[in-house]
Amino acid sequence: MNNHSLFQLESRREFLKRGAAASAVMTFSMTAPGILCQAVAQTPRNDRILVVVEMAGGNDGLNTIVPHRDPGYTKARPQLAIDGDSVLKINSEIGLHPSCRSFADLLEQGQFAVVQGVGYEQPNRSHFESMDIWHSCQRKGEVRQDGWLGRYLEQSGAAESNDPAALHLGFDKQPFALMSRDVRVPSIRSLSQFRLRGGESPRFREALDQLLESDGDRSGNDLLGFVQASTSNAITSSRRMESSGTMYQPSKPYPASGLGEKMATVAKLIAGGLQTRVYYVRIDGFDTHANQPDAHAALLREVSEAVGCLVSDVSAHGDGDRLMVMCFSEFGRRVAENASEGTDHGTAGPVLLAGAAVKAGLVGRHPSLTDLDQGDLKYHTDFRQVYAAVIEDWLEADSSPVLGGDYEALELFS
Amino acid sequence: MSRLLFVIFLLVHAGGGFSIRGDAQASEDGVSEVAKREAVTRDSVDVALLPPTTVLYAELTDPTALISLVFDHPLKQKIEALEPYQSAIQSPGYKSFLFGRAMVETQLQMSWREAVEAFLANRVTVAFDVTTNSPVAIVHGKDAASMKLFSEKLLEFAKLTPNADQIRESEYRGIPVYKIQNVLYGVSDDRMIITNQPDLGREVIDRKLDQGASLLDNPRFDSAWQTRPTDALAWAFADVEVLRAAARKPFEDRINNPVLELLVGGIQSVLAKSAYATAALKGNAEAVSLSLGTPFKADWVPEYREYYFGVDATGRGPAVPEIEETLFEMSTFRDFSEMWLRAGDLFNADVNDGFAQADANLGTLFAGRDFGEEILGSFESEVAVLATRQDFSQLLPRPTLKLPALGAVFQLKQPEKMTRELRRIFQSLIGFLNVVGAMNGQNQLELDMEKLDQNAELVTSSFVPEAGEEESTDAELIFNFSPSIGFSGDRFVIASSASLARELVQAKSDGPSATADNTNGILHANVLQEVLSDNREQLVSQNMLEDGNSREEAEAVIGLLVQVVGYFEAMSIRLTPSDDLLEAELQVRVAP
Amino acid sequence: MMKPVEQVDPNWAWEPFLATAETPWDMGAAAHLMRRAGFGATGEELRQLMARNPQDVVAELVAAQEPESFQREMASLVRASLASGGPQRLAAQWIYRMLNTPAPLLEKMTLFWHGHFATSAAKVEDSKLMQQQNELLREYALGDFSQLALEISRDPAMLLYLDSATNRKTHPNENYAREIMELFCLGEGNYTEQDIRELARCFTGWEIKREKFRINRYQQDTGEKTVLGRTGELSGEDGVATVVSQHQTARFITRKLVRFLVLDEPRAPDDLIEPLADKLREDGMRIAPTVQRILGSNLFFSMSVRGRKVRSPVEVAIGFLRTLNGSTDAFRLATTLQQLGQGLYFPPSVKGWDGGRTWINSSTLLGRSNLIRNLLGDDKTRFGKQGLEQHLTSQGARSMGEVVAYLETVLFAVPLPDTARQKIAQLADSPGAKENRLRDAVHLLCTIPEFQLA
Repeated sequence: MNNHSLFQLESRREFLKRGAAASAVMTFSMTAPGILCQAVAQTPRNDRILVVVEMAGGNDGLNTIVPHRDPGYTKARPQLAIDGDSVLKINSEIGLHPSCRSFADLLEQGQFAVVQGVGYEQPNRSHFESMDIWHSCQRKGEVRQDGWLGRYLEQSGAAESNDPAALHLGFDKQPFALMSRDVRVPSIRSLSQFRLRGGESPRFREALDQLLESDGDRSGNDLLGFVQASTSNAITSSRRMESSGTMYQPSKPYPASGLGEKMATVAKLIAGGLQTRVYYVRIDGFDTHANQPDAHAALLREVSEAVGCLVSDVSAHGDGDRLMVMCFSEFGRRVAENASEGTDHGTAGPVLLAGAAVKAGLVGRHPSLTDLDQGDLKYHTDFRQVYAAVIEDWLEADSSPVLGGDYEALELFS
Repeated sequence: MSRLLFVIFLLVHAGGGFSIRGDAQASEDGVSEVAKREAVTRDSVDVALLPPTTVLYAELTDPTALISLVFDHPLKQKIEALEPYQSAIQSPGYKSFLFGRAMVETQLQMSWREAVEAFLANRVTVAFDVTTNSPVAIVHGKDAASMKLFSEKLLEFAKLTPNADQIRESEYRGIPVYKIQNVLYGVSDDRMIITNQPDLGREVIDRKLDQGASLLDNPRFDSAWQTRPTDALAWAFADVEVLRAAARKPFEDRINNPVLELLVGGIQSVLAKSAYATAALKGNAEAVSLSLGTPFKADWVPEYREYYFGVDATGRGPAVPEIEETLFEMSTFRDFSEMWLRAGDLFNADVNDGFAQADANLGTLFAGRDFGEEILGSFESEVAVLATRQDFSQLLPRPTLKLPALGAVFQLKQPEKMTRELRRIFQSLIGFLNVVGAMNGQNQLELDMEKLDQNAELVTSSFVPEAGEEESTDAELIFNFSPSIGFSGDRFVIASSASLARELVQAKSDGPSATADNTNGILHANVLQEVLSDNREQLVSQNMLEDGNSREEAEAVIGLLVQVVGYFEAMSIRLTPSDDLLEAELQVRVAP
Repeated sequence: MMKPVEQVDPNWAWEPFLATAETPWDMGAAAHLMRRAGFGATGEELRQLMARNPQDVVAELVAAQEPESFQREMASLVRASLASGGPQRLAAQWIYRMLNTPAPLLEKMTLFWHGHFATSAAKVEDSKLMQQQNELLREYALGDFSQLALEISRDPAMLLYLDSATNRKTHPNENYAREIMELFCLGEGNYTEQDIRELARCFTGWEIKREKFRINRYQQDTGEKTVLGRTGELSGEDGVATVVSQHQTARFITRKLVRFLVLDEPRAPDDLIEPLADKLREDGMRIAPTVQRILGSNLFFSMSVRGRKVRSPVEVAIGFLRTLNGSTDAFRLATTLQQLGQGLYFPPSVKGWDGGRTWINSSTLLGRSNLIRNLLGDDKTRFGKQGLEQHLTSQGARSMGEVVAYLETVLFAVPLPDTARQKIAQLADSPGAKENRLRDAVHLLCTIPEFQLA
């Protein structure tokens, strides 16, 4: 048992001391068969967390990670180019979009990385199709029944956990990346889905605790024993969420944006001790064909503020080492701007990573602005190499069955 | 729904014992000037009891007339004839209400009707005082004897409740004062004073006995009082100046919600400057109206809100074309282009981020044109919007759900240039929708052009039905729509259906071109009733699924809804600025 | 007869149920039948059933059809749902059907086939096609499996869902060929990859155009194929028939029916399944006789299978409401079911719902408990068109003790722990309106582990 899980157990004990459920679970774990205790104690083997941010619509990578010194850039973007004075410098050649202040701060703290030139061969420029490729790692015509994260969850045996293996936050359709045959990923809209209603009445609470503790004939029916262990765990989760509601305070307020609110929920769930490994959030609107500058700035601000806030908040609560955030988009945009102060669908783009464990800085070179494929950037890193690194080195699992082939993992973590 | 009906029912039935008092209204008409002046003096006797620091004031000017209006209304018989009403009077709840009423009557030794009429004979005044931060009510009854009786009976009833031990009795300047829980009341002559603040109660009694400075000495109240209509059933005043100063936060002029901004942005600016606001309720058998007013100066509106009232607040809504089966019509003055371009001044950074994104999306939709400048900017600020019932009897495919058509009429700034521009923008918009629709497997739109006469034309689009669906009578929702635009001289029309666009293009433009209002809107109940009836089957199904009702129950609920809507003629709302007054009025007209 | 199911005599197991002293035909047995063969029943309904012979009751359940008036009513709800929006509205309409149908077994079996031939609106994105499939499933829910398998193989929603809307002879799409063998008829290990390739050739030319099935004869591979040992110039129809007529098919379907109707775990031994599968073959793959045999059997009523199933979210919600003669806002319920993992018209994958223990995790358990609380607190929810208290009184349950005893009989598959009875009786003494105390009591009962079992 490593230090971390000791700490986990300690805090769980501490919690139990407070609750009337304590005696219930303790008595139960002394008498119940080992497998049930495991369900209750649930000490994870690896408790790293991955937060995936989907930037839907095709993020303009060139104006996110800006090659401001490249003459080809200013030439291709007479209206939209961001000048060298206003970018947030990563190095002498390349800088972040000025509204990515929070990303720049993370970079300074060594917690932000950019994988450049990510894409795949024979790029597809349809939103739906390209997004499906990123989610499933399958091309059109191939059977697409599950997504890469779904396959990872299936392989990691996540189906046996008491807490959901992954969570999707939001009202929209569940992301295909999380689909699998065996693991069900709940979509949650608010934290209240993790709180037992009626639990605020002490009378109800007390009666419930005693009922869970009671010695009905549950031993003869394995299924009943299983449900009882799960129910105790669920009530414990709910109480943890309640106490994290009162005890957990964000280290700084989250931005009032849609993504900010989702990230605040993620932080609360992490602080509540949920054993969930993967969180998935989505922000739409990157399809900037016209009047791009203000819109794109607002979107990047929303992403960078929300991610920055999550990383620093989770660190402030002592879980910084467990968290990694990955932001991706289905494609970048064309190098040359169009006539409406916008950009059209393109190909390769950057993947952004944040968290204490990432090897900070730029990964790979910026794609060339002169060696183009019909006006589009040529990718040099397959997106599955990014996934491979995340699966192998962050989630510590075998990537080839998940990705349907061997992809060389990039070195993304320190 | 059923709850609302029950409340209506209780209200109606509570007045069951009243006689018809329609003559009260009539007798007011012939009063002389002298009598009017006397009435004004008589009117102010209760105001004179309130402290000058009163910030909110409301009166039921003639309570018995108001009650008579409600209970002797022809609508009452109609509602009483409704089935739910009939079953409600069989309910246990109603039986216990009757029992309670009988008990009161026995105790007071007068009928229910006599009791209420005596208690509320002259006036009811409610006020909120800013110094004590408390409310007070003055009930000006028939005479001292009956008010004394009510006071005693009230006490007796209170003593029967479980909180009897919390009743306290005291006296102030010879007037007995009772405290039941935290409510204090006392009777002085023909008035009962009710408050929860002893100091405030004392102040009112002092003023009654000694006179002295009162709310009448507040100059803002005095100005408002001059504007008070003599035929109001109820009237209210708010001391906006003091309220603004008393608020914990400084008055925020910005609203930060684009929809709300469009609706009330201008009013917000006026309230930031004006000294007071008033409300008056009027009514008779045909209509009830609530009008709100406040002093107004055109230069109170800051430049960034000029889009709302126009230059020097001269903007007026246009006349709305007369179209058959109009469900809803609205005429307004708003410079949308200016509002869009001034978003930076009007809203905070978050909302402006939203505007920037909307700008990008709309730019994509409108083939790269700037939405605020080029699209909105091509119209004058006078806009008429209307919704009409669609007649599908001759149309196929016929949608199951039949929605009203929506249309708007604008005036073009440069008709020659913009007609061609807008026609082209519309065509590329339809093309764009077809490309996106094709990717999502949606029906395609077919464009058509029609020259109506020398300078009138239509550009219509309609959804192409799938093969085999051409004659469908339960088609999808989209077959409610055939997005179209039309031009006639400098008139530009955009509508959700081709036939509405056609009617709007062809509508005659004689008669006055403008209204007297900044904004006015009317909802016609008879057309609403028809639209509801068109969709009766849908509404019944919706009710079954939503309320878990059986078909019979759902039919009854929807039937009732349709019937009750038929009792009304129209609901209207208007906002009218004049030289020194800004007035808003909401009116409900009952079907004859 | 509390024998573990592994040790049960297969002959005895499927013989018609004979009531004994240990396994009487009582309220508990009738409630068990109605829970599994439908969505539960009120005490009053159970009393009426008990007065009759159990075999007659089962026969009637199997034979029950929706009356024409009910079909008309549902047709208009379907029409309304299709007119006004997406598949979420359809789900509300199906919930209404489940809550009100006079043929509950037919609905339960329709739900079974929805999970078996799982097709999700999330991908199909066409309410009309989803509803068309739903009606197909209902039509054959207790009918001929061979025919159902053929119809579903040509069902537009199914083929769209499995990316099989086009199937050219130069590039046969193997997806449907794989699933019909792996998931719909045979199970893994009962076919080879070669069988998949050959079967896929049979389906060439089958396509969905303009939301309708058609055969494109120019794309048909008319050559000779060998599928599962049968050789010939097989058409798509021949291909389906070949798969369905495999000896394994009856076994596969019978096992799934036994799991759905009798017990989640442990896995029934092959010996137990085989006699039933034989009968299914003898019946020419007609489902109704098999279902009747299962529901009327000794094993079905034996104590060793009571409470051996985890209630699905639909069974939790619809079961709770039907047992208490309840009605509620079907739209809201549709959303909640989705959150609990059983969105109607939205099965999670082509495998359908796994059922059993996979229904249970911390988020779904809290969700189930909150669902009951929300139903109880929703002013759209009525029990027999009245309040909870009035309804329970009408069923003869007045005191808190009587209420617990009544709910235990109608709602619970396994006995309540003694403490439950005491604790809930204590709630009766606490202050507050009786309706609220009753709600607390019912909510509490539906939060304890025993409630999750069917």
